[in-house]
Amino acid sequence: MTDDFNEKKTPFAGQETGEHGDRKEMEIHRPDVNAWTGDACEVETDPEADENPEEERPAAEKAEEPETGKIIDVPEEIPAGETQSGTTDSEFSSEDNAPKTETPSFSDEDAMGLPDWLDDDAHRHPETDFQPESAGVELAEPENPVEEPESDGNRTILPDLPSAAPEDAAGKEAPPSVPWIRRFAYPLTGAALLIPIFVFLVLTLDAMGLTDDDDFYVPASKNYILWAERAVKGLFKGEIKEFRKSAVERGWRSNHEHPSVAKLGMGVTWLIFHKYLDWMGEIDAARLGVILFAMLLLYLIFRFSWETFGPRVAIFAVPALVAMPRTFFHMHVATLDIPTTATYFLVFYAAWRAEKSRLWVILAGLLYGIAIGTKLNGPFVVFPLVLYCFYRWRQYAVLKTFATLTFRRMIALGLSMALLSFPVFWLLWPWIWSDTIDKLQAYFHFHFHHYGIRLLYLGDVHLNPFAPWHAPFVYMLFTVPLVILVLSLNGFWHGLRQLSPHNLKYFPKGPGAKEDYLLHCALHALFAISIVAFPNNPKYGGVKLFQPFFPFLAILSGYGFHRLVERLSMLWPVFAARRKMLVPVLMLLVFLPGAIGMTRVYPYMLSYFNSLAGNLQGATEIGMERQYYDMCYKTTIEFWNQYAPTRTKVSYEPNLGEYRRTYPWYKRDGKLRNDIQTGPPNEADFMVLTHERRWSHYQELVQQYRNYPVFHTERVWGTPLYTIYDLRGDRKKKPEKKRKRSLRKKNRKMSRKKVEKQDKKKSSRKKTPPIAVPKSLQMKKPSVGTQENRPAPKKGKAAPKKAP
Amino acid sequence: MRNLRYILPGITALAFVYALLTVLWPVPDPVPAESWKAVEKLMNPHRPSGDLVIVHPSWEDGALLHFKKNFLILGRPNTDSYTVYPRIWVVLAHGAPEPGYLDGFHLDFREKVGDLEVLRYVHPDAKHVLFDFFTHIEDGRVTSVRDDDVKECNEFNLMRWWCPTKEWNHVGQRSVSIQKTWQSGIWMHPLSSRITRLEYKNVPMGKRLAGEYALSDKAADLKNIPPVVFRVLINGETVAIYESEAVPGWHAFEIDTRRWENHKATVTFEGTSKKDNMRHFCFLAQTRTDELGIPRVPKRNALPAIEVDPEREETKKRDEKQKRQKDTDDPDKDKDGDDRKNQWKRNLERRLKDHKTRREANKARREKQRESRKKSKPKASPTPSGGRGNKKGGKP
Repeated sequence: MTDDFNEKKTPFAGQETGEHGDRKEMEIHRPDVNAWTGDACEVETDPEADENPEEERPAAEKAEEPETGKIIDVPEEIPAGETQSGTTDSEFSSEDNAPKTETPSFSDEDAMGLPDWLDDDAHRHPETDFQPESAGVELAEPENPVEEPESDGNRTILPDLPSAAPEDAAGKEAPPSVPWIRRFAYPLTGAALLIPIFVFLVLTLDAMGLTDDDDFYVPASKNYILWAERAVKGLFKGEIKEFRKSAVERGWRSNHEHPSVAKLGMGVTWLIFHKYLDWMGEIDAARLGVILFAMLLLYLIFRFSWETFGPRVAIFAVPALVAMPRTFFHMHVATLDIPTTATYFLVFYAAWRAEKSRLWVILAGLLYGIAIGTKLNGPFVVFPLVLYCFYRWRQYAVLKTFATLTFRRMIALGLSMALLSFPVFWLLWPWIWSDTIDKLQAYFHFHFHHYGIRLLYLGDVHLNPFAPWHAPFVYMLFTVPLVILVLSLNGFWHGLRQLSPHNLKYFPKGPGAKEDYLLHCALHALFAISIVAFPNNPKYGGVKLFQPFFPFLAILSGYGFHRLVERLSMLWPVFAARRKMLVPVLMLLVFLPGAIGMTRVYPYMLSYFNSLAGNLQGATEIGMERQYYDMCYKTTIEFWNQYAPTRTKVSYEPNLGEYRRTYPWYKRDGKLRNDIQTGPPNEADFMVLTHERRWSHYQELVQQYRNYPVFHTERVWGTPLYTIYDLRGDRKKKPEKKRKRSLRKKNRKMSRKKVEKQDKKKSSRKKTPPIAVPKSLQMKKPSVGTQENRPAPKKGKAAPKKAP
Repeated sequence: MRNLRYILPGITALAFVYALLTVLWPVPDPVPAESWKAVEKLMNPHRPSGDLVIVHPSWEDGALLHFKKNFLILGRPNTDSYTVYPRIWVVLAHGAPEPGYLDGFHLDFREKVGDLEVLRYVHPDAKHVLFDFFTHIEDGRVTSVRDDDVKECNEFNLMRWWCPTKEWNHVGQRSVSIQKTWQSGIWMHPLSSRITRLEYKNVPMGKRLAGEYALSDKAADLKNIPPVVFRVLINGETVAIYESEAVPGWHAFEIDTRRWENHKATVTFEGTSKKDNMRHFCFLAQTRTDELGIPRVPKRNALPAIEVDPEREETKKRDEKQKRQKDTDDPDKDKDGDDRKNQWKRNLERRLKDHKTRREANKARREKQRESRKKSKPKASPTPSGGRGNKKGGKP
């Protein structure tokens, strides 16, 4: 240990060990010196408990404990392999002051309550975790060291772990005694988690309704990728006509309010799975691109969490994100929110890797360009990163050479992001290849003067001015499953505690502490949501605008879960003894309420509210949006296919315009009968009133249609989402001939036979996979509100009329 | 503090139990129809059809099947439209709490009926109201008049009277965006060169008739569009004429009705405009017992009552006098002064006159044209190309 380091550590050493300020004593007393660094997250979080542990402990415990300042003897009866690296739980030792060796449950093999091949300590990262050996810290050897072939000194390093710097790990060979399952723990666990999630996302793809944004981004994706296809083909032929200004602008004009990366991703899957392979419809093929972005995001979360906090956090964080119903929904729809979340996280990940690798410094710059090129959330990743760099800078000033992120590296990272990002952004967005400045000005002008979109928040409709600053926070609190939310708050607490004056003065946990990364996550989470909370920023669509917040929340909740396991192990010996079995059970229990809630609202994921809001019913009553996005629900499509007579005309309120845009997609993909038309309410046979109270004329619509028989009301969790009114009886009847003629005209002069023929053809060509909806949730024949038990429409009443 | 170690497991356990209980808690059954019917039975004798009914919780939509006539809001209103009602009925189901947003209203009735609880809130100002034209819209009679052409708007639906003239031409309750807040009023969109008339008979009169009128924000923003002329008549006598201004917001008005106090009268509101595009006009009015000059229901963004210009009034009176004199001079005029019966005759005569004069004028014009053609006929020219020249010969 260097003198410099000793000087810095001395003041807090005494504080940590109680009365013993001497450095040597501290080293002897704490054979788990790695907890001081890499294992520091295990240090007791309750400051009060740390301050005076002597007071609270029972006398019996005091009598049994060995004297501090002495080397702890490892009792012989403790099985080999449970002492050396199982000393991570300094939390336990600091509180109870009991030698860890007396608690077999804290042994190496099942220290995390998981199978031994998923042990956190065993998977400590060689780069990101502090290496006392490399830092010159001399570890006190126990008097009777127990031989442990699997451990490397105080820690076990898996040779096959895909490390932050694979080039370093490549040279090492795995010890021969390491079982194969442990060697492949990382890829096996990753595959076991991610593949089922991918399959689940694809299976549930069809059930998610069509949003109004789908109609913006899917055509744009098609145009972009078709241009790219033409350009590449042309290049092979030696032609460059697609690169002319007019051709580029023609190809990239659609939806040029947003950059291209997400749409290119959707376009690629559209090209492969729809155009070339014809396996999917247009919408589903484009949406597959978003699922791939989601999978990238989940993989990055898994990898970061595994390498930084250990398997338990990784295994929890990934499903935690999928278990957030709103995010789960966004993983399915062709919008920019999940792609921007993925690229945002990618920059965060790159910056983390850049702490150790020069290559990642450059990559971070390039990836930042991709993040900027996805959506306007991307550029804001810099702000928490700068704050984190300040934190690291301070750490560097205190710890000197032990800091993981040096000042020079920070500058390099900043330069890389500043210099490399824009060229990447420019290259990826051909729309701005010409008239760059003007088009960028228009781009920023559009977003800084974004038109208002209605938001119903606590009973008030906000349009202009936008909703108050707390709206995003309240929406977040109400839409994340409660138990996950509680655990994530614990993670926040531990992360933000790193900013305490004491920590900033001494950095007692050393430079590689897990809490530093936790702080990094917490800062990103806070910024991602706070950006939307600014008064000048539009707030709408529930939690849509701050999706980048949620991956960090998932990691923080994973850390909270880790803390929970540790606490329970400490408080409940039975739990400690049977951790292997109980931790998975605990994990399932944590996810259980949220999962039940999701099942109850499926497939209306945007209607999910947690128990804090009183679930969907409570949220509706306190005035929160029960749905948004002008969703064209798949259930209504199934309803028309099943029940509507031939040549039915349907209408939607309160926002018919959006539905008229989205309907053709269902027809094109063969999911909706071709003879079903949309039209204004006074011409329609059926009218769907979605109960969206943010529309000011919603109340009037309720009055307007209550005299018509209700054909079906779709209730979710006891709350009506939409009501289908039967307008046939009361519609102004045209003379039969005229009506037929007009219908034919509108149906492009298609005869009935032709329509049926086309339907047959479509249904035979594309058989969409059945939705994995439980039977209980599938739409039933309307039992309530059928024409029989509803009052008949009054004769002589005119059809609802449109105001001028 | 050794107990702190229990915080995380404790809070997590609590959250788990609470979340699990709430997600597994069965959804309450819908309120049975009998309860709704009982509520209707209780309310019907005490309420005009125009009263507002609010049902809590907002997801209990069984009310839609029952309160067919009243304006019904499920849950907290998302606009300020409820503020125009002097009386509001609140129906609570599933143990929902009392609404806390009805500022200014006080509870004057409460009763539990079956599974429901009925509350009635009254605005303190309501005691001065003798007749509210907004809530009694069903009692009105709406016509669209152009000279002799009187079209009855006799189709009542959605608290509005629908006219056979144009699809959007109706008179009744409607929410309009006024100064960026949605507020209710009696919608009376005028038609160009037609008079839309809303007539109430047997209206109990008090000391004054007070109210407000407004154009919607969109309409008020438009400049250089002819105003809506809004006229109020009592027993056929014009008592006030207002012109809408291109200023957004409510404009208050007040009419002295002490002449008719404690009597019943026929009150007519008329609206017209030279052009009918974007004339989103609405108004509110009440007959009241309180003294003149006292502000009515505190209205959001209401402008002060229009001060009547004495000079203008004098000129108006003079005009009316002259008109009356003319009418009395008219031999066809009835003794009662009601000249409507003979109006069609006069109109017919006028039209015939117009027709004659037009025909004569046309004749004269045609003759003139003929003469001019004769004069301009080209005389036989000495050259083959003629006076105007041709392709071959060019100009002479």
